Amino acid sequence: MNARTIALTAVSIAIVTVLVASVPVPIPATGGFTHPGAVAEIFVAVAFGPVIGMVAAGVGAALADLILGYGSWAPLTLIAHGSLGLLAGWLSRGRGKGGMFAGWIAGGFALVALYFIGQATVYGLGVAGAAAELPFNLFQVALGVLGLGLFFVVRAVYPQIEQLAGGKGFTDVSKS
Amino acid sequence: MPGDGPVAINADLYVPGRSWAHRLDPRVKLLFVACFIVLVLVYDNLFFMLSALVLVHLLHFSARVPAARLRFVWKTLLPVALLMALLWTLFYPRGEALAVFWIVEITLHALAQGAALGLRILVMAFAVFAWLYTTDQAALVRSLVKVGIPYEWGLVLALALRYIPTFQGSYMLISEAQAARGLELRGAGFARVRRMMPIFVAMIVTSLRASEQLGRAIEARALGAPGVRRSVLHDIRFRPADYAASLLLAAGTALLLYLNFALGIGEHPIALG
Repeated sequence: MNARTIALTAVSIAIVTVLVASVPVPIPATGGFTHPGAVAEIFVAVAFGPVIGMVAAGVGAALADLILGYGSWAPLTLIAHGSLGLLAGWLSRGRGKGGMFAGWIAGGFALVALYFIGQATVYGLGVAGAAAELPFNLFQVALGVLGLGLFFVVRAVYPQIEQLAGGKGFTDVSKS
Repeated sequence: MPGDGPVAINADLYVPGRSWAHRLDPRVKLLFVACFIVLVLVYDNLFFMLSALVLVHLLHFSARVPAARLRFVWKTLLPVALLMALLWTLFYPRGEALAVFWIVEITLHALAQGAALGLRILVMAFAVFAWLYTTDQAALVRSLVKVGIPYEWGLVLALALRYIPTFQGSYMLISEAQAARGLELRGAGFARVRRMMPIFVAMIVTSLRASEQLGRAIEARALGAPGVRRSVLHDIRFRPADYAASLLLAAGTALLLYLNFALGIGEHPIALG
């Protein structure tokens, strides 16, 4: 892993954590709150690929869980959000807008399914308890589609983003 | 989460101190968290969960963790715990009914099971926070590298932890600047997030520029240069007390697992044995 990838991954994790932990989004007609974390996760996955996408989404969201006091959910969050980042990054690689859309759908589905299975079995919420959480998770990943729009806007104002991922460091150059 | 604007968060959980828990090697604390989580996932018993809850509180008190930090965990997780207890009581009745309301049967088994599962969420969180409240970030990352995480990934985690407060600050600054220029954050759900887009774009571009500079700074320090042996300023070392604590933890966990698997103790939510 070269220096630029290290920096980019760390920064991506921090972006996800901030958007999950400190930006409240009201949920329509309920008075509850969710967060735009999925927007950042989809953005990072689409912009920087499956590996950085997986690490940034998984670790970023798990850190946010710890910071907010939801320590017990952090391991499940790491896996569920990590899968979203991995799938969104993998399916969108070089496949244009259709691939990005498919990545969002597949990643979102994986996140919701993993939370449901994990909460129903390992955490012992039972099917009833996990089903109660289902609408919140669905709404959360639905917001993620705006991450695709965010990517196009950011790329338009900051075209260097294309060179950030997979850039060569001096160690790679000296090796070759 | 109250209000409309961004919420200030304290990203560093560490509570400075010199207690025995602070001085313990972070790897021992990591082992403690792992053992504790395995045990509370294996045991289903209400009395076991209550004892575990008392034990983690004693740990926090002896490490001089301020009561406000414990109240913070209670406040975030108590609603979840209560909801779990309620759902189990309503949906999974078993055995003789204590009371019947219309189609809902309240049974002792379901009540105890629900309470035990609710407490489990709290106990797991308190175990994780016993580790994070008493370990500073540098030692935490160092211990993760020592248990086998590659150095580069440890650096990624350390840098991410360092940049969370920075980016949170820039998010707040940008949203205030946009608000001063007339950006109004109204509505809920999609409408709200679409209105937040200008803030996201500015924040992300700022962060990516920071990442470019950070990458160059790391390169300038020749990270990954071949043939260089890494050294650290403050290394962590196992002392005799750390060996003793690890041994005690492993033995206690093994005993409790044996009691559960071989003798079936703690399988039932309310009965012992």
